Amino acid sequence: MKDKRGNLQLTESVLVMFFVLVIIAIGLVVFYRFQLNSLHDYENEYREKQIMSMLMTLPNELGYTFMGKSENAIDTSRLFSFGNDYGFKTIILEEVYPKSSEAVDCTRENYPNCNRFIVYDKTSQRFENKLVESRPVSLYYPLEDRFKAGKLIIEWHY
Amino acid sequence: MKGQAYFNWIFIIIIGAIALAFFAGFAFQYKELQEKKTEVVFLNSLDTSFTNLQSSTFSTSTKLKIPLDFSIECGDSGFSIVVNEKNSVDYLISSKDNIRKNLYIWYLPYENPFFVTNIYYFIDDDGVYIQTNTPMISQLIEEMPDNFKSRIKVNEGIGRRIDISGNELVIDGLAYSYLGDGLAYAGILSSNYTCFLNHFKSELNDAVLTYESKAEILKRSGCNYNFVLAEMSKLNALDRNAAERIESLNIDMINRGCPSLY
Repeated sequence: MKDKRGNLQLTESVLVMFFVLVIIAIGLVVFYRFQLNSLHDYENEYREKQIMSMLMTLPNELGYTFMGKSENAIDTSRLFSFGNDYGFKTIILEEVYPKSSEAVDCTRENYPNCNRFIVYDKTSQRFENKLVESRPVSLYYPLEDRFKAGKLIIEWHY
Repeated sequence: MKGQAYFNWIFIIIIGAIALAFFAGFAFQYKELQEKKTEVVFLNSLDTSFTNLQSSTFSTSTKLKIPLDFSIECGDSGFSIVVNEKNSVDYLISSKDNIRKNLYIWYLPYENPFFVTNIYYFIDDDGVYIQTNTPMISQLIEEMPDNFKSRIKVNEGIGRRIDISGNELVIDGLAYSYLGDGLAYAGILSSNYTCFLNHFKSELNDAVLTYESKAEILKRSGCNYNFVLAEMSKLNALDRNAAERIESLNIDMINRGCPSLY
């Protein structure tokens, strides 16, 4: 009789322990998922910061200088042989003022009678998402010695 | 009754083993996750520092307290920051291989005569040891930001020998073209100057190509940029004097009413 009761208690304890372990395991899985989400948030934040810093620094790299002195504008005549590798991104410069009725992509041949420069374009089928940020910039056309208002757009494919 | 007891023990052992495997697996996964998180946070703050440094119109430096040691790798495809895994970066870094504790970053744009690239210089609390007999190297170190010059130990301990001889920067007996102070600083701070110089040459080549393409477009204004184009090729071949000649040719073009090349 004592043996039987003892075994029953042991079975009960084992089952209690088992359920406690299952509850702890579920808790840990939920906690891990939560941490993983926060990591994705950090990664998104990092991506956003990188794109913002590109928006800040790219106009310096493509900048118009007069005798080496920065004139705070993008030199449009330098946009045709942009050799840098920026990973899976698309960099576009659009003229916004004076406003044109239709977008004409710039090539070496039709420059400066155009209003949209696709400076860099590297995409892949495997990326479904894209982060797009833009900022206003000043565009300089040396052949006409004119400044125009433009928009620098960066698309990050991920 | 005995069978029931056996069953209990077997049940305990199996469940115990599963639970142990689960918790051990969780611990490893969690550790990996935390490391990845620290890495992302670190890269984030590094990126912020780079942007802040570039936003300034002056040559500036900053200090970054780093949560973990990292190394800089220079390979064929460019520079990488290795924390737990390799993170490729698209800028030039002049640094020793391993960085510990505090990271000091200094930024200098390389312009000779036009903008070529941005160079980031790294140093840590352990500093860099060099040997030199050239007063110009000592003078260059004097002109560095305070948090850099105090960490460069000249003629102390064991370090690379760096000298300037005529138009050449000589590092441990190997002679390289002296192409301005920015590259001399890279010679002082880089563990692998040859690799750094190769990437610099590629940046210089890109910049020359860009300005050659611009010169071709500017020819439509009726001006002749052929002399400048010839000097560009020499600059690409690391001719130090080509930069001065391009500068004076550019001034000539402006005086003749032509668009400025740079």
